[in-house]
Amino acid sequence: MAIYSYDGTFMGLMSLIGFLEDKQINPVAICDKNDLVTDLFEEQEDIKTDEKRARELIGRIVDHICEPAFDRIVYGFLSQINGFEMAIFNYLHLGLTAGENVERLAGDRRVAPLRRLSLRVGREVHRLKGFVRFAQLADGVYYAQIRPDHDVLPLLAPHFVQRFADQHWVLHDLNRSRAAMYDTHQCEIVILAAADSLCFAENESHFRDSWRRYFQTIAIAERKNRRLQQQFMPRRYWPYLTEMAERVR
Amino acid sequence: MILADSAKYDVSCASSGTFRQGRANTLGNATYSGICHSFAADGRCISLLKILMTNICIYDCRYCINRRSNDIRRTLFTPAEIADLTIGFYRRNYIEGLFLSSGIVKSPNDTMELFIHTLKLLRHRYRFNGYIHVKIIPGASAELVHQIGFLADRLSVNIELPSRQSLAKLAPDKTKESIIVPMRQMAGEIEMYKMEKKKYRHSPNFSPSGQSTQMIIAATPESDYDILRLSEHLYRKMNLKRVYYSAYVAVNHDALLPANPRPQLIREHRLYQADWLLRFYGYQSHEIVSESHPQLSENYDPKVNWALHHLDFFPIEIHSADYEDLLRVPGIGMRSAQKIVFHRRAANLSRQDLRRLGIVYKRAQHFITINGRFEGGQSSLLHSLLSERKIERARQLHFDFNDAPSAVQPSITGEL
Ligand code: SF4
Repeated sequence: MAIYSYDGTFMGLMSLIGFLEDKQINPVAICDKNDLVTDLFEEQEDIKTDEKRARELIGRIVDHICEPAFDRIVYGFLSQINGFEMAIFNYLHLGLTAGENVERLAGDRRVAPLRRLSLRVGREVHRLKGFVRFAQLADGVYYAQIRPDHDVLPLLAPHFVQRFADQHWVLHDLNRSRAAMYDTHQCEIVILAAADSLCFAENESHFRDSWRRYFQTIAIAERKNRRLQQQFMPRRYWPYLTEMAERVR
Repeated sequence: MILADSAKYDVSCASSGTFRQGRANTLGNATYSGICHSFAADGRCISLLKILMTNICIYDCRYCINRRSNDIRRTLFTPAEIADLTIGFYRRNYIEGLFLSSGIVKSPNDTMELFIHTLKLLRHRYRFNGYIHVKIIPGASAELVHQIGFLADRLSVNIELPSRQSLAKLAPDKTKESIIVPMRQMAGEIEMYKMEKKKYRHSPNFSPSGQSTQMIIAATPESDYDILRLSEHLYRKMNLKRVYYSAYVAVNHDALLPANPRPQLIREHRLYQADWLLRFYGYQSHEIVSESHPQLSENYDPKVNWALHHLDFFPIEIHSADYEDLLRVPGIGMRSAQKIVFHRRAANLSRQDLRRLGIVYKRAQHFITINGRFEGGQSSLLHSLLSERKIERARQLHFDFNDAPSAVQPSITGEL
């Protein structure tokens, strides 16, 4: 029994779990080695990332469990919520023997935690597909800022690549100082600090103001229901929504 | 923005039903799971830019703010202005696409020509691949309807009122034929091109998201029975994707119109629920309303109402009942019925499992058995159902209520 650590990457975690499965080890805990604090009472072991072993495990997940199970693991990883590593380990440990039935055991304590994490991430991704707001900068690039709870850039970027195939855009996660950048050919995720000030394109305010006016006129006064509005569009998203930003300041 | 002001009474927010991949060097795709970009102050999803091309109109529909006889300021968007705004909004991820409607300038065909011009700009000049819904003008020529079908994702022509008499009274310039003829033409062409597409991959799309319509509720004396029978006909015979119901909102003073100060939202809500039962739950309109009971109950949603009148149909066994029968249980929605069918293959389901699958157990227990065990009861049944009305009130405006019963827990426990 020991605490195992990995380098914080997805492939690192897959290598580690592949290792544990091969050796039939049940860990006490799994940690990102960058967050590891020395613990006097537990043994610690760091497992190096091994691409081959990681790929092997992924192959087994897809073949022996199912593709949705792999998605669930990726989503769980991107949740980055405390304990996600063990949630993935427990789910996989059961899944590699139970096969695709693992997806039917929603209530099982080895399955439920990962389900919860992946659902949260899925919900955030779905919401953000709608709530991301781009603004055009003076150099023509469309730029958007978000502060997501989870590390959703890898899941959001493909959606916007499809959608805005002919436009240069940058989607900036301010919480993690990372950005997805797309130049009409490829999309990369890079480290990017917040800019001090942004210089917008000339007609940006025209579109922004038109949208705000549209947004205000579209509601039917007789049916006003702020509570419902907030339920669907939680307040924490407002600072980055062109049409709501003013209400926050 | 005057022109958005009139378009807001169109309730169709649907931008789903089409799936189109983005292509290199083009803008936009239409995704499957309708994305909401924002929510208006009334709680409705905003996903489309709804533009009324102009509020100029040669017709004089009594219920409409834009009718010829009203003295209002008139304006008109040019096709270029509409295309610019749509693209500007789309590129900023404000919207999924465009919903275009209009008053009638000069003639139905002249107005349709302006629509076509706008759509050609969007599709050809801007290479815009996103979603476009166009409201066809009643009386438009077959040729123009045909042309616009290749440019739009969804077409609609509004029924407006649920009977010929009401239409003649309140929309004297529109005839039933001017509405039904294009509707029937679209139904035919949509069907035909869908079949072509199966045979030849490169054959063009004609309104690939189908067609919808809208009618005004409570401006005229038709009963829910009349309305639902009409909807059923539209779904089964005309293959419509959606019928939208819009509670009448008084904008004009007119002797021919009811002077009801508040729109009948509960009635509208009940109609949407009944409509949902017609489309997804396998109910026939005569099971929901009849000549002898022509109105939907205000107190109960139509599914609960049916169950209360068919207690001999229940209880049903959760582990063996068909999907269709599960759907008839109050407290079990579409999604939870699917989950039951999926999960019961791997495990024996307990009460807790059912709750976890999103079933409102408090309500469902009176209609089901679990491994032969029945836990409900007659006296608590009514009690638990009565608590429902409160919930319904709160959810009145939630349009997507397929699983509404399972999303909210009843507030009264039902134990007596
Ligand atoms: S045709 Fe349309 S815009 Fe014109 S008056 Fe009738 S409802 Fe209003």
